[in-house]
Amino acid sequence: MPLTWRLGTVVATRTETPSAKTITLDIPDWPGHLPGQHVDVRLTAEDGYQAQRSYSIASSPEDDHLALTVERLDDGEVSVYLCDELRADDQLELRGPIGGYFTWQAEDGGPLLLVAGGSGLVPLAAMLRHRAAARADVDTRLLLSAGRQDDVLYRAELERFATGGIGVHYTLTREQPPGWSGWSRRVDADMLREMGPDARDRPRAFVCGPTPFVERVASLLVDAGHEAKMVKTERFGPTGG
Amino acid sequence: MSDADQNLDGNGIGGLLEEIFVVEPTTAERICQSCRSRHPAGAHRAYIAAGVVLRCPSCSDVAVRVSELPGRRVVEFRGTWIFESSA
Amino acid sequence: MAPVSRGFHGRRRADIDTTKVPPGQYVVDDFPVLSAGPTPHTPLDEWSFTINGAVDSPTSWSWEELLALPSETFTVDIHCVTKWSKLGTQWTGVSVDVLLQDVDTSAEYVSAFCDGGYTTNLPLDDVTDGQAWVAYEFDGEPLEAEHGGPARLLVPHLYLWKSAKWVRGLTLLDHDEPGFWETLGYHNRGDPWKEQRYWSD
Repeated sequence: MPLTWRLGTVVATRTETPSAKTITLDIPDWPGHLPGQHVDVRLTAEDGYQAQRSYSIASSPEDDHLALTVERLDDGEVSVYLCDELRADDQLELRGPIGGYFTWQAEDGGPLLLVAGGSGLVPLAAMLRHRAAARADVDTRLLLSAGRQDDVLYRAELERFATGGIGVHYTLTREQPPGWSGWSRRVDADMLREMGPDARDRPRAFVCGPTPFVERVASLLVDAGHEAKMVKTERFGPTGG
Repeated sequence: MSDADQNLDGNGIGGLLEEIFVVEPTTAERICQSCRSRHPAGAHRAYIAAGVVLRCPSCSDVAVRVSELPGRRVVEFRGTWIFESSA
Repeated sequence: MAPVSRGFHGRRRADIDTTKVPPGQYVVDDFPVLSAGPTPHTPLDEWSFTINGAVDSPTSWSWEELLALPSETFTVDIHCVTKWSKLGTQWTGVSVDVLLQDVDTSAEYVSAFCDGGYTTNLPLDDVTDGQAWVAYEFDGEPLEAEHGGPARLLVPHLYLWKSAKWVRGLTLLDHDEPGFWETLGYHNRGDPWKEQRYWSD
């Protein structure tokens, strides 16, 4: 099916953290998507000037509407507009879904090893939400690296996933709340070994976040014995999505 | 333009690739003409400058180059590409 | 035209002297990083700049030798074919005239070659008479790797893809040899004032 630009209507916007918003869209004739895929969003000014960026789909295919979570970058031409200006009933031009490479569906099986740096959590959250909707019982472990607890996306939902049997691990690298018992350093080999699963279990690994983070974590996983083709990566660029 | 769209990968430029390939391209695999390694398009490194350059994740040699000009697109492929059919 | 996004204005443009802005360009305050490949990191003790091709014998300078040549600090406007322009940028470098001083050639063209394999072609007339430099400082600081450091070619009167980052030399040629972007649809010369962006311009 050829990719065409479509117009979606903003149903709602929700503040996730001080620097991230989720935008929920209604898109007529949306063909559906696989968890992990993204859309290209295109903005057009009155003088014809255009800017385009890619955003991972946060919602699972089972949801009624499409959701994107956007991290607001201070010098981000598009993210600033999406977070500060866009509101319900606005239209947003987008095309997708894009990307068959970085996807996971319940039928692919597990174990599932998810490692996210900051807003790299978004496509992995779509996988977790789909896993829940599909009632897939695969061994799933998530490691999220964030600067501070306030930066953690979907915190309450992640807590529910943890209670429901997903191994959820955090490392807060810049600032930790009082009494913090989680990790507080950059992801390293020991951390990955501790959270598992072992490479022998041949987990499907998905790593997403800023480029340097993704490259480092992917190398660590391969060094730990995971086959390179079992480690899928999605790079967001130097700072984020 | 901000720096947010630099250093992506073949998956991140999937929209552009799909316009060229017409079929879902990010799972297509390529055997590098230089180092003979094999990787899916989605795992290649994408560089966005005057045009878009996709490079081998093992040796950085050029895999695809694309210029988007008014009214046309100029594309160069290198290496051996494998497209699985869905049949 | 695509549907207009309510309330979207794009990057804020500074108040600028429009006579300094070539057609189709807009002015930016930052310095976008656009590269066709990964940033090379050649150690300075392995770095050299070479002039070869249609010459009696190639000439090379080591990093120390380049820095010992007469240099200039100058301020120019730069224009990228992706439509951004940056006005009043300050650079320090060696004029290509200095590098070609003792070079005898009947060549009419040059091809700049770089770490990472990038190339770009120019008429020799466009890199002489004070129009081009091998620049190694930007804004008074050593040129950052992502902007082409340790040294890049700087030819500000043409689109910035001609100002090859990570330049390692010039090959003098009697024919025009289209480079990395020129073989993919971009103009052989690239004059922003004539908007020479693409093959058919």
